[in-house]
Amino acid sequence: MRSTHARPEVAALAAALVGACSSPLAAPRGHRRDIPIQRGGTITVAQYVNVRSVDPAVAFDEGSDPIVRLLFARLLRVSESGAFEGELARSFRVTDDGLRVLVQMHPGVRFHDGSVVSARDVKRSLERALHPDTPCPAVSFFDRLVGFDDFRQGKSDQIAGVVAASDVDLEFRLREPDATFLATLTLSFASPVCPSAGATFDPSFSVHACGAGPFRLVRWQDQDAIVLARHESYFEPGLPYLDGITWLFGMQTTTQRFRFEQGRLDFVHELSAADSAAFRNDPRWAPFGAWNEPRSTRGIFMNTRMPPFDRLEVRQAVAAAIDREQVGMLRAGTVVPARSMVPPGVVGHDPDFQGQRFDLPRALDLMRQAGFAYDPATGRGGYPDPIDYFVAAESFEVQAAELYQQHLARIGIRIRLRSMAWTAWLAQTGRPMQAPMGGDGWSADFDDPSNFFDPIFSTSAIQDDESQNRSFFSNAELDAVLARGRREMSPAVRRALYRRADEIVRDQAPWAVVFGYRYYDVWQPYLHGYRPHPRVQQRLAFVWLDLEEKRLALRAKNAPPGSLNVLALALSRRPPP
Amino acid sequence: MIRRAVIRFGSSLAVVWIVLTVTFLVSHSLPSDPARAMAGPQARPADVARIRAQLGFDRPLIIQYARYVDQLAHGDLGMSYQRRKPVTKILAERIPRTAMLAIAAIFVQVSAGTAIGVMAALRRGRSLDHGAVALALIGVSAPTFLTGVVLQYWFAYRMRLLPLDGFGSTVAERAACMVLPVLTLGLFGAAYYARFVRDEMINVLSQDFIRAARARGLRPSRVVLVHALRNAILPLVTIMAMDLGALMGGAVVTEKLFRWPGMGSLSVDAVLARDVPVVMGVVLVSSLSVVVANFLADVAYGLLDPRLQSSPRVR
Repeated sequence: MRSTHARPEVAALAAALVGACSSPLAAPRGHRRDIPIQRGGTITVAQYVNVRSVDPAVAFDEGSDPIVRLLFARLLRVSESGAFEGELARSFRVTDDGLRVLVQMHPGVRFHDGSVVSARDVKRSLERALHPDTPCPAVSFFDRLVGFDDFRQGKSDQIAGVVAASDVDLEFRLREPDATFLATLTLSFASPVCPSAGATFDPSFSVHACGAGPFRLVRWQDQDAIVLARHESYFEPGLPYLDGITWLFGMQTTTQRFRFEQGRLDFVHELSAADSAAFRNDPRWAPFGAWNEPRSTRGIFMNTRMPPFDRLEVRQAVAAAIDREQVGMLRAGTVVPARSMVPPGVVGHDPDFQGQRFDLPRALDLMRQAGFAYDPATGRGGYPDPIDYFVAAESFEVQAAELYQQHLARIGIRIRLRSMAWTAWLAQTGRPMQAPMGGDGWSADFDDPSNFFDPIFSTSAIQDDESQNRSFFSNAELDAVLARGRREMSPAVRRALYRRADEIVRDQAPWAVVFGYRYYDVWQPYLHGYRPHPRVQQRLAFVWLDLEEKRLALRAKNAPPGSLNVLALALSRRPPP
Repeated sequence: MIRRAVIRFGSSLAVVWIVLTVTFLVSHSLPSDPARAMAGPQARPADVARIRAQLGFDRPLIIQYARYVDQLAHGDLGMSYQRRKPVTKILAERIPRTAMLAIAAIFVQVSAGTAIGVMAALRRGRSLDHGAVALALIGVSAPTFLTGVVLQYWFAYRMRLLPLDGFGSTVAERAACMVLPVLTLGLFGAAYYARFVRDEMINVLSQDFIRAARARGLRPSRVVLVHALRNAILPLVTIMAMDLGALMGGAVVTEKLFRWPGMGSLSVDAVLARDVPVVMGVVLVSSLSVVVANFLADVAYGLLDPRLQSSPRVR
């Protein structure tokens, strides 16, 4: 009796406490002024994940990428329109036979330690990244370089296919044409590192990282923050504008919002779906926010070697039974229904492509054709056995899977969710006859449509263990299209080839292509020069501050709300990072 | 006494060794690959295989275990796969931070819990007692992630009395950063301790020796604090030792929420990333903490209750 009386009181108290936490957004205190660019000031940003390394030879994850870009200049970069353009390269070209890439670098570029960057530094840095002792996660991206195998096997102490002809002239020689090679030069692995980094990988290099990027490393407190300061000798005149950037790690998304509203963060990228909706829908904040383009595609893999997905009609039925708009409503705005394998934020995306779409009558008809006719009115028929659905225990993937469960029940397919840690998910789904279906996804490694087909749908990607082709899908036409796409140098022909690849995936349905993620960025009114880059997330290298407005805004935000705020005043003199 | 201590020490070492061996075997028999976790979910199989060979995962399990034991015997816990730093160095950074948090949280738990428990026992059946019991119920029922978020929202976001999170870089900042995580952990424990102390006190206050003390004309405060409380908190010592040992393994949710770079956040990251050397290091510290805390509890028992010093077994 006593407990039944206590429960409503406890529940009411908890509801009141939680309800009190969902207050509306504070108004932006700073103002947007139309003023000339100013130099100086520092910004603070944060992210949830911790950065494990900023060494460009090994750092290859979403968490470290924005910071590695600030520290290390790259040979090439991708422009907003999706074209390759020089960063350290003043000019570059691919020879007609596609076997050589000639790069001329800007002269007089300096490392953070003051020494001059030469073509030999790029060669040394790439060889350092690809060295057999370096745990580089993307060595195979460069396996078409002449002399790659000899170098990896220790038969040669250098890669013959990387030639520094002079201080500024660099040549990459390939064994066969590789249309993706320019894209791999936009990655960090070929970023020059200071001579102090040595010829092979040293884990301690991250702590005193030294490159030629717009910012240099001042301090790295593991699991806490990275502090960067302007590289005064950066080769692009007048850049960067900021004195420094402090990047905090391991911060919950709710705390990021709180800190942002207090003016202790200048930019947020990882808002929760609810918080991003609050900022979007608040007219006071709307001018200071924008969407990023999705750079990943997520869906359902179906193992084509296991029943019932060895039947084309069943796979097509699954693809037609998923209501993508409804999936998008699970996290309105941040989850975007996908039509093509190549997401909008990646070079090669075709906005006009008509991919798989929700069509329940067609899905039921396909199930009938497969011999598993299902009557939704009576609930009779359908595939007789429950099917295991393997999902990594990441919150949204599980939510989506629960919705798929309902969608597929409407065509007579009952799925049983098997949720597990992502490392276990990788191991189990990568074996040929273990996982009939599950949630899957792919994020852009580099800007090329091939990256969304070769690793997950080609026959060569099938392995007995650790297979990334989790559908174990093998299609001769697709293999031929992809092989040609790798060698083909004409952009127009490549576009047509990858459109055909997208059509094959749509029609053969090794995957039900469902959605992509995107982030909503918000920045303070006094932060100028930022807009989401369609290819590069959180590109903060060249933003600038209205220093007077930031000072006023901080003062306003730190104003004591009451007499209790003595401690806050004492702390606000030097806020903790 | 010395013989007993030696036996106790030996059995504690055996417990730690068994825990480490089981953790090693479990870590290596899970259906997941540390090399894959290190290379990333999209790394090509050939690149993962190279990393696997570099780290020695392609060798038989018994060889890997022998190498681990050999390293451990030399005080070397190996290199973190993810951070690429010696595990000993990582733990040396983390242990003091978690110890600060754990000791402060235990202090809050014991002081607040004991005070509330004693007051509730002395006012048994009255509104103070009911209020304390209700508060204790709420405190025990509320998960730390809820308590933490509510404290963070009110004291750091709304009132701006304290930092939202972080570790700080000066002593003053660090002290300010500690308050909310310590309160989050401490309030939960204090609620539990309050209920425990209340019940024990009620039991002890009805004993004959308390009546005798009162009959001798001792001051009420002396009767309560010296005669009753000393007996009532004896069982609390064991719970406190267990709590201290557990907290030294890291308060996972609280450390994550408040961005406190201690053992808790380290262990979560390590488990998720299959960073086996770090996982082993955290388990070693946790098990040693429990063993040491229990040993200290035994010593404290003897000091608090002299009768136990002459008994054949400490407990």
